[in-house]
Amino acid sequence: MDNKKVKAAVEQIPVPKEKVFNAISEGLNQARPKKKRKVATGLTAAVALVGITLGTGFVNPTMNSVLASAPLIGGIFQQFNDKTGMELAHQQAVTELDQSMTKNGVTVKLTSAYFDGVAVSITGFVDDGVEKGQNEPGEVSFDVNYGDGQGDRDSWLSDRSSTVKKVKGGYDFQWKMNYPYETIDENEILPVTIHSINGVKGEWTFDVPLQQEEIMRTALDQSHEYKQDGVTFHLKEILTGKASSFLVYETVQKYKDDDIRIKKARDEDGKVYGFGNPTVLSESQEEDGYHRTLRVEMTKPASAIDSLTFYPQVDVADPKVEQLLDQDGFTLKSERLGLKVQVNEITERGDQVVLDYQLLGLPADLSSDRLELLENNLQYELMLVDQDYLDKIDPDNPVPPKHHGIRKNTVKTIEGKTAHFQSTFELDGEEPFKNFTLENTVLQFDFSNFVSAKELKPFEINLNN
Amino acid sequence: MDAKDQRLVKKAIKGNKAAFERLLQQHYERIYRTAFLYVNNEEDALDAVQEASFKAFTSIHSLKQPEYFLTWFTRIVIRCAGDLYRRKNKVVPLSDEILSNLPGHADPDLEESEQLLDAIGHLREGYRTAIILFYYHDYPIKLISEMMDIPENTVKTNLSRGRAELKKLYQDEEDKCHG
Repeated sequence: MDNKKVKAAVEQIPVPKEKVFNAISEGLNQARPKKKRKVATGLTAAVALVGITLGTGFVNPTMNSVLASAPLIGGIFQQFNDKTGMELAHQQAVTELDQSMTKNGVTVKLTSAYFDGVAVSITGFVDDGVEKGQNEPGEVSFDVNYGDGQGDRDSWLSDRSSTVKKVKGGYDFQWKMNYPYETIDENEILPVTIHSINGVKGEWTFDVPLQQEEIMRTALDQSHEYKQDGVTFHLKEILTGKASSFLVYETVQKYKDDDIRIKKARDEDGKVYGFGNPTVLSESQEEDGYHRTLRVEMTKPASAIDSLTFYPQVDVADPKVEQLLDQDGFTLKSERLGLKVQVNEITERGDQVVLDYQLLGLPADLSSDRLELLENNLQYELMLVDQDYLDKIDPDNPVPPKHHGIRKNTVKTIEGKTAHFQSTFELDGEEPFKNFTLENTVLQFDFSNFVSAKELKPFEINLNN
Repeated sequence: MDAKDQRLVKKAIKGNKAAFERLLQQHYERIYRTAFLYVNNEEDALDAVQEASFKAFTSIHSLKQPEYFLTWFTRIVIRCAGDLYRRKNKVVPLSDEILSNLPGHADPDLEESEQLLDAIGHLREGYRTAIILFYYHDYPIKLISEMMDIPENTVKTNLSRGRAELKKLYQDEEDKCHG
């Protein structure tokens, strides 16, 4: 093994530049740590793979022949490493635009648009007038809305990615998004309103024609039920555009907060298919459970395949359990995971509260690695909260109420074999717990972080149904 | 680190947020990929970057030598990503899904890269940290030992055990292919 191999391997990991910049900026601006970033789709564990080269089917022709047939447009997509765009340019399926507008000394020009299946791209150029804005040189940020969307509620923004490249006299940019609605109109005019660029205000408005390229619909209409796990998949259809493909499916789940996703698929020849971030098309609660229809970009299927085997997994959401500390010992039970916490003893010692407990229901013979992980998780998953403040905890960001709760504790393993631990809470730590009494304090425990996502048995569907 | 960077670091140490942000943006790929190597998914890697940025900014006044900015920040990223990895206990090893979506899939060298990333994703934390810092960041053993607060000999042991583990994981993969 050498450095070059490791570096080459690590450099294969795609980096979502804009999201990393946002994470840095949110980190620097946040008032307190551990503020959970907002997840656009609302699906907490969705593996974010948007913006990567999601199997566009583009392997060859070589770059040169692509560019030879579409020199201008192809070149734009090449600089953004957008293989869908390059392939579409090659097939002459990109609409060239020539719309330009100047406000407050900044000129924006839109240069192209494509709409492949549901993947939408708009490219453009903004001149170096933006440099008088507030950003550092080389950075361009747009405050923009699409369609009739207003502000952050604009459904086009939920999985938009944006890339900027410095060119002579200004910057080329590309916005990529997925069509956010369930039914797709064949030809649509998408209104684009840029409210400000790098803080320079003005309303730059455009009407972008979205001409949807030919799209092939493969009806699947097949279901698979996992009775024991309370999950049903209903595979609806595969949408195949000229360069990209999407899977539309519905999940019916008994437990609302379980995170269910398809990890991958495999065809009969063994080819593996990846999936991007799902767009939630609809959600409802019905008699048989919670329904959710999703559309997700997938690797373009080979034309001659007969079947696909899907590999789903479910991340069980077990409700937090609570118990008032007004008794010497008690047992907390997980509703769904077969786990228990048996609290043997609670001691208040000056500014410390010590809990002695055992985790029951874990596999026997825990490895030392697994014990180390357990110890670490226990530091964060036992929470003490003043019972009068329980209703003040934001469910999306469940941090303990200031001065009326403690999250972090110090864990000591009493005996690994029996999963016997002791947790010590400091009442006089950074944010002292005010007016603490055992009788008025609740212990919250989250079992769901002690089990891994469950792989469901793969199921096969026929594509020539 | 060049003179311009040094000036930025000095500004950042004095509490200049824009300078600090600029510094992190210059190294965003390395920062993100380092975090990703622990948590193996975009969402958590971004969380780790966010948390590390916060922690670093609130403690940059303690950085005495500007030339060590990047190693100092790398250490914070590794701590934050490592914390997340342990806290969540839901580590998804680099899966076929992620690997099959790496760009340039037609590249014949990629298969080896995939196996290597997958193997790194299976290493225990101490070995993984030593391997990442030594092979990806090119840091010398002495510096890794200072960064991680562990003796040089432990770094060496972690490196050699990590390498052995990687070899074994490679071997298993090969066996699977041929068996």
